[in-house]
Amino acid sequence: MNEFIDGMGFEEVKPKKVSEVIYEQIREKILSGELRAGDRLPTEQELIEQFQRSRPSVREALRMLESRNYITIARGSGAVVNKISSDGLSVLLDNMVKMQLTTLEDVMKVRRVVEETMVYKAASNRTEEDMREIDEVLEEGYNAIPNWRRYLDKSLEFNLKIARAAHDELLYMIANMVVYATKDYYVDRLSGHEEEFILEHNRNSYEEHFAIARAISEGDVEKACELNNIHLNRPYTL
Amino acid sequence: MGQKDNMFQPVETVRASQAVFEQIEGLILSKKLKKGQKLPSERQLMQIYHKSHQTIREALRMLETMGYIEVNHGGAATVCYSSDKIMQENLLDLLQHGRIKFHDIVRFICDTESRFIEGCVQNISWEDEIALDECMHYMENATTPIEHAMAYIKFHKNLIKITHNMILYIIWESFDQHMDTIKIKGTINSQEMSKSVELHSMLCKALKEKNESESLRLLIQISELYKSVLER
Repeated sequence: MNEFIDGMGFEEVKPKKVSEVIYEQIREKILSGELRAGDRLPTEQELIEQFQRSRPSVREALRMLESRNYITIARGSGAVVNKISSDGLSVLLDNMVKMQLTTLEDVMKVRRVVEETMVYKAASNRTEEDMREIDEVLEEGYNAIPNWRRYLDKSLEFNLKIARAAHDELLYMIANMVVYATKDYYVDRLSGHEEEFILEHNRNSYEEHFAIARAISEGDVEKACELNNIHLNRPYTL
Repeated sequence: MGQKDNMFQPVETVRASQAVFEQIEGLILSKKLKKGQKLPSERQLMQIYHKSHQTIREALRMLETMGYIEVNHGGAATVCYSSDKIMQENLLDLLQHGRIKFHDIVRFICDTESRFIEGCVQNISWEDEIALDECMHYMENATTPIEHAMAYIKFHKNLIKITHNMILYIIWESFDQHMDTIKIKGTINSQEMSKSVELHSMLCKALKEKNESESLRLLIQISELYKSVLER
């Protein structure tokens, strides 16, 4: 089915390392849901016996699983399965920017469109619980106005709460990937400025977020989108 | 007493392999170690860090899993920039684990695509045109809703390519790969299928003519068609 696009090249045959095979087996079980968040993996000794492989191989596999955030290994108490979440994606996207595989401008472009879409959807799908969480982050943002780094974090958090309120799992996944990856962009843009400028900027940003949240709360799709567009068109939008 | 309270700070210990991993990761991300550059051998790293063979091997395996290095069969490690591949794998994992369905993907494409394409139609290259033609050919010959769905995703993957936005391409590529693992319910009827083929083929023509407003108009029409199918 892929042939007409991918051609039919033969791929290099790479022998798999034992640790890789163990890694993939455990990863499969986590992805399929057979192993759930909070489940404890068998002990190292048990894994050695089950896989019939050496301790170093089993350990390597566990470290690989940990570096990809599938499990957490606490000293002395073994490995616990993590909740699968899209949180790790923004780190990878950040790496891609650092490796110049993509640019911050491209990240911003994706974020803009995703944000437009989620504001639109949040205004029609939000629940009372969503609004409570949005208002809570807004208030924390208000208190953080004097401290721009903290305000920045709260502002990004506000965006993700709106993504949650859109009630679209895939949209949230992508929002979670792009929102935090734009953090450096703002840090770069804001860090050179006078304190007075940043304070003013944070106040305006807060006012706009507040207005967007109200429109979402009222279910006014058009107004929410319009306010959000104005907000996104500011040169230092957060 | 107050001063004494602050004299001793809580200590956080990091596993040796983690510390080695983080140090080399930092060197790669700050470009002190560049793409294509060879890492010292395992033996040399053992001497540099004063750590055991096992610790060094664990750190190297972690770096490999994160797409920072490639290790050849002889064990020599080279710096590579593969975060995009890892990102794609992760996305696919999430789509599968989150049981993201075909209609979720179509909805996402309908919601966002025309806004991504805006301003990009001028970029369309000769290769893009060929790729879209091939997808079109495949879509025209699709007889079942499943074949049509496959062709739809392939077409839109090649369409998003004209944005030259790597992130979008990775997302759309993961949609395409995800298609192999999901069941597609045949909700689209044959009338809608031929309407879709017609609109896509008109879109192809408009894109080749670099007619932006017409391309966007058709894209929106396609979105509306699919949204009406989804709402049933």
